Amino acid sequence: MAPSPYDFQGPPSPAGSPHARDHGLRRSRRITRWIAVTAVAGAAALGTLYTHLLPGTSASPALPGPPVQHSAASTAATAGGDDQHGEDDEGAAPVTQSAPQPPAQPPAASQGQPHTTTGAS
Amino acid sequence: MTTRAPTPARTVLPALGTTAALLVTDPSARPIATAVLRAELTNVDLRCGRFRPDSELTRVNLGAGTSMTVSAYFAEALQVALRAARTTDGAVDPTVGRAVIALGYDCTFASVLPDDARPLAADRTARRTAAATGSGVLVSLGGDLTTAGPAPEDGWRIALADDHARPATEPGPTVAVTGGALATSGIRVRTWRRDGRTLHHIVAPATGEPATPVWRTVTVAAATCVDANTAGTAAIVLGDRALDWLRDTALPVRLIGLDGDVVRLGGRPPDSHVPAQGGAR
Repeated sequence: MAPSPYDFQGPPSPAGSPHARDHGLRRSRRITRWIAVTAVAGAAALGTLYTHLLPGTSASPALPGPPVQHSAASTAATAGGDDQHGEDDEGAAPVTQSAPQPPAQPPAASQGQPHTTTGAS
Repeated sequence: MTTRAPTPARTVLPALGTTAALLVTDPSARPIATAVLRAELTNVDLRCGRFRPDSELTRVNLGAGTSMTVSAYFAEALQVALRAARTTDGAVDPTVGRAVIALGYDCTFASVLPDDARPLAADRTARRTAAATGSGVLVSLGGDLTTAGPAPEDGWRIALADDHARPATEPGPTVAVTGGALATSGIRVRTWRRDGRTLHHIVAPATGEPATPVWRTVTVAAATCVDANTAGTAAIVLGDRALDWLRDTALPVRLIGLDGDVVRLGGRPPDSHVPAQGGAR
């Protein structure tokens, strides 16, 4: 903890003298510094406390929303805004697997009339 | 006594320059399913339309070098595209758009959905429809199709063709699937002439040129349409090296060479030819 500026006891000076003015300025700067340091330290302490207390979060800072990497055009982007439809998270594809996943069952030969066709387009 | 399985209800839409086909095993689910499909098509075009001046993709490209906030949908599409590049060691790359346009693939094809976003839209539509209705669903966007929910009793029967718009009366091999997805990539459908050369739209990222033709058509089965499409496109790009790469994935694949020879991998069944009649396109 930074020492309080009020701990400093300088020698008394005649009121209105240049020495008294300098003394006052130094004291004012000390108070300002002490307030700034205390505010920063307090904010950091409270931030750390909230980070640990909030459910589902860790101590490491993280941006909300899915991680978005730089596009080919070197455009940094963050997800989440400009959602006109409000349904974007529904039906989201599982994009976390590292390799293409085969189907649960491979296709089987069929003799029936097809429901539809797969082909290039 | 045998009970004939009811025919799935079918909706076919001309959408964004290709064909969107929606099949549901429960006919009462068709209105909801159609609404979901229409919303998804609108969404994917607004977000990922390559040639649409007001699309989010265009906005992002115009803002290259700056930070911006994108929608969750766009972020998902971007993740899908980057994962495709990662899993194929760069054979499929979302950054080839400029090379494709430079080769003359322009607004003549503007209404065709982006290759990366189309299978994503199919996957999303099928999942959302099945979740909303409980019905079995098949969604096909330009021949890349995916299923969700309970399949028909004898599975979804899918004709295999070079072109998804092949006339229904033409005979061809057919397979049945009970889940997952099928996607087909090929070099015979979207072609154009330039400087005396016939070009196709599948560009090799390493060269910026159309992939050297080795396979005419590649059909892949996978858990999702995104994976099936990614593997099929990678196979076209990889050419001679595709077989080794595909064997490592264990995906069921049917490849047709330029000479018409068929190669099957990953438990893909032998072709069974039946005359196709009335199938959705």
